Amino acid sequence: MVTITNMSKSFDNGKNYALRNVSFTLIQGKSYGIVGESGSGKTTLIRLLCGLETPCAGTILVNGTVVTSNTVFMPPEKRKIGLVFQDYALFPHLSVYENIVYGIAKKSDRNKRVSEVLNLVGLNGLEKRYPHELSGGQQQRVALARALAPKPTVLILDEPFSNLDASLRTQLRNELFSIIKKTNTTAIFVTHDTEDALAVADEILVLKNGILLQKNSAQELYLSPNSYYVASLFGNVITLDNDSLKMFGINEASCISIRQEDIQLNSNTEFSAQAQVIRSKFMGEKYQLELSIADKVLLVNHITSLETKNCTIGFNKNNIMYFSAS
Amino acid sequence: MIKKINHIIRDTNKWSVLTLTIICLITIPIFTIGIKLFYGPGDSWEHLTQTVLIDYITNSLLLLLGTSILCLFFGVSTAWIVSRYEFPFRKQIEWLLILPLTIPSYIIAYAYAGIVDYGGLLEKVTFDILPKFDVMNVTGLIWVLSISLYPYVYVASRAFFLNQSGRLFEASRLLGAGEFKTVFKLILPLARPAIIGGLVLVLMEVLNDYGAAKYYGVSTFTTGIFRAWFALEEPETAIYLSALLVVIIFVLLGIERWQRKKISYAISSKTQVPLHRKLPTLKLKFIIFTFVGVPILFGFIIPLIQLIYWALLTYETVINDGFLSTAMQSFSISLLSAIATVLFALALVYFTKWNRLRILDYFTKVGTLGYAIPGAVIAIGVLLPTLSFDKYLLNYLLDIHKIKIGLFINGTILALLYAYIVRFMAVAHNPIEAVSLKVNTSVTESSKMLGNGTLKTFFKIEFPLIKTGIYSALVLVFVDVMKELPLTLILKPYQVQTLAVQAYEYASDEQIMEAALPALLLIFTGVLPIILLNKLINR
Repeated sequence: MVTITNMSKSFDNGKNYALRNVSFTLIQGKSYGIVGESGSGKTTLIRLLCGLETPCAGTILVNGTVVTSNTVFMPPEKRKIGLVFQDYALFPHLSVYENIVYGIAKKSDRNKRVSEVLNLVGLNGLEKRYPHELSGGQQQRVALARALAPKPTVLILDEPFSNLDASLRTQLRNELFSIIKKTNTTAIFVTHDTEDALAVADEILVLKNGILLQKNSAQELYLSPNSYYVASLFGNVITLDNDSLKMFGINEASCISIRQEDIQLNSNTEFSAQAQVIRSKFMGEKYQLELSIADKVLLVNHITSLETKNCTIGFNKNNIMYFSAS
Repeated sequence: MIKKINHIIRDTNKWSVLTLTIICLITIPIFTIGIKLFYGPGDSWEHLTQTVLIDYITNSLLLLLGTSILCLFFGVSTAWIVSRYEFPFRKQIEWLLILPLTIPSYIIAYAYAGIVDYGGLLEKVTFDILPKFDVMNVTGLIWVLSISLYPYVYVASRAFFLNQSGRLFEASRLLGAGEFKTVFKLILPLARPAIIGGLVLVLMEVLNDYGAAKYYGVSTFTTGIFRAWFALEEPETAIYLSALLVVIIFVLLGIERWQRKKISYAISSKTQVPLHRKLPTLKLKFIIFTFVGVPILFGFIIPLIQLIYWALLTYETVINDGFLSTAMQSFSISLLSAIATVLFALALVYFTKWNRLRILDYFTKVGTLGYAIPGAVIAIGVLLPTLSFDKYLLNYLLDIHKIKIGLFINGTILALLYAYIVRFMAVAHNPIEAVSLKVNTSVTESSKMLGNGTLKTFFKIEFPLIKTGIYSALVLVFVDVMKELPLTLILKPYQVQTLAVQAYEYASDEQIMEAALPALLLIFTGVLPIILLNKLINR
């Protein structure tokens, strides 16, 4: 189990914070996704967890042992945390076998363990190759095998899919997930792509400007986001202001948000209004409709094109999301 | 406050202590001299101020100004020519233009003295039709120093012209500017930080020079330090002069740093497009060969011919057991110093990296200041604290253990080794740091994440990846120590002799022809490792 309490980090003596008062707990065997845009503090957070940076404040406990605090600092090599780097960081002058065996402490276990992890990642027979002789996907598997070989308590994968093309990405994502689940290791996937996080994580942590906005399962994040930012990360969100809401017969709220997919066309809903169709745009498997309501332009997806000039749009009460102005 | 102290305690590790120890060891000589500025000069200071001090200042300033102008002229013009034009033997000429740097300035000075002397090479080649002129003065010294040091400016400018100016040049031409306007309004102002970086190295070498100035009878700060130390036997005055020189150097370093800050606008990875070379017309080819020919001819070929000529005349008397022993000693001392300096530089680069106390990063650069301080000043800076240490050790052993020993560091190879490490730390530090920065941090971090400690990570992962940088550092320090003169003259043990000192002593004893053979050996040992290193890097 990993517990992080009130973790803060500044690289310029407190002028700006890369991470501010972050606290959370990770449970053994589960997989987590850390999501956020560039500069949100994802990398800083995992570097602090690994012991590659020292924090300004806060404590980190791994399985009940304090590894970082104001007075304690356990070096990275003693933390039993595995890290798969974004660029894989394979040792260029060592073969696949030598790369994997590098982190195994017990000499007697070495060959057995190398063969186990190579089997796990499906790279048997490539032991003698050097990193430059492997494809991008193979390099990533070697990096994963190398990180798994010493049996880490926590395995962190930093942007594991960012260097892969779209087709390989989906395939490897599924493979990676099943490999990690087999090992029962606590895994942390760091990514800026929410689709990746949804595919591999049991729980997702959303970071923005160094602050942890929300930590929940993917379903909870989608259904009950605690901020507009979190809601917009997991799908397109339409915000209706006071004037637009009056068209739907809602007078008490100043501003609400609704997911794009919850807006229904020409059907019976609790709230509905007339909208003008500006244009229909063919987007492949769907059409994107540009609609105008109270001088506001809304983009709504629909399976067919609309030939009429007007249409009815609506939504139900349970689709409404209220967020504070901040 | 308590939290900050807690953090300092938390982040201090053994590497922090070792980093601080190395920085202290390297900076002790420099700070010793700096502190002595506040102690005031010796008794003869007033006499010096009334007589020769004004000469020291004027001559040093004249030398700085004269060499700046000539080095800028030779360095920038040749760098532009080889970057902008495609002409026969361009690649070979690019190399040849660097070669004057392999001949120490004092040896070029000896060669020129011989060339223009009565019955010298110039008289023989021109059949005595040219009027006689004297080079043994400030003007001659400016010429000699410029022709041997301009490659510093050439190398820095060429790097900028080749890598940075392509896109800028194209943009300027598309905006309707001609070649002349583009060069003077755009390229040169942008290249200024790089050019000044090279020029500051020239100025450091000018202030460091002792051999050439002494032989030409020009009084400078450095010759003044020697005079105060050895002729007036007044260390306080020598130290005071050294301290003043250190102040001048810090001003120069300040200018360079100020200029370097501006380099950020000049260097952008997006504009790194090589300059497209142009084919010159026949008339332009003639001008090009004149421009590149002059520094190669006068900075390398002519002095080399003069030295070979002298060596052929004297080799029978010079080559004896003593000469071979000097060569061997020179070689061994240089190798030993190079290994020691590289080990210290490696330690400084990596201990700083491994230390978690980030405040120490600011002090690391101080550890490489030695290259900017003239050899004579460093020698005195080493002499003072080590002498105090020796005296303390001597008294301690005598008083407590009744053991009588001689000086432990002073007058031994240890003092010389220490001074070389201080002086050439930057020479080893820079290539090692550069190559270590090229090793992706994620590679070393992943080794640690796999449970391996700092030292295992270094020897198993980083060392194999930075070997070329270490070889470069070894070669560069080796060549520099071989050529070093003023520091060696002050600190070398009585029985130790080096090729540089032998060449200097022959020249001082008016046996200039005999100086040629040790000088040629010095040049050879300077050129050979550079060729080998170049092959190694290419491989």
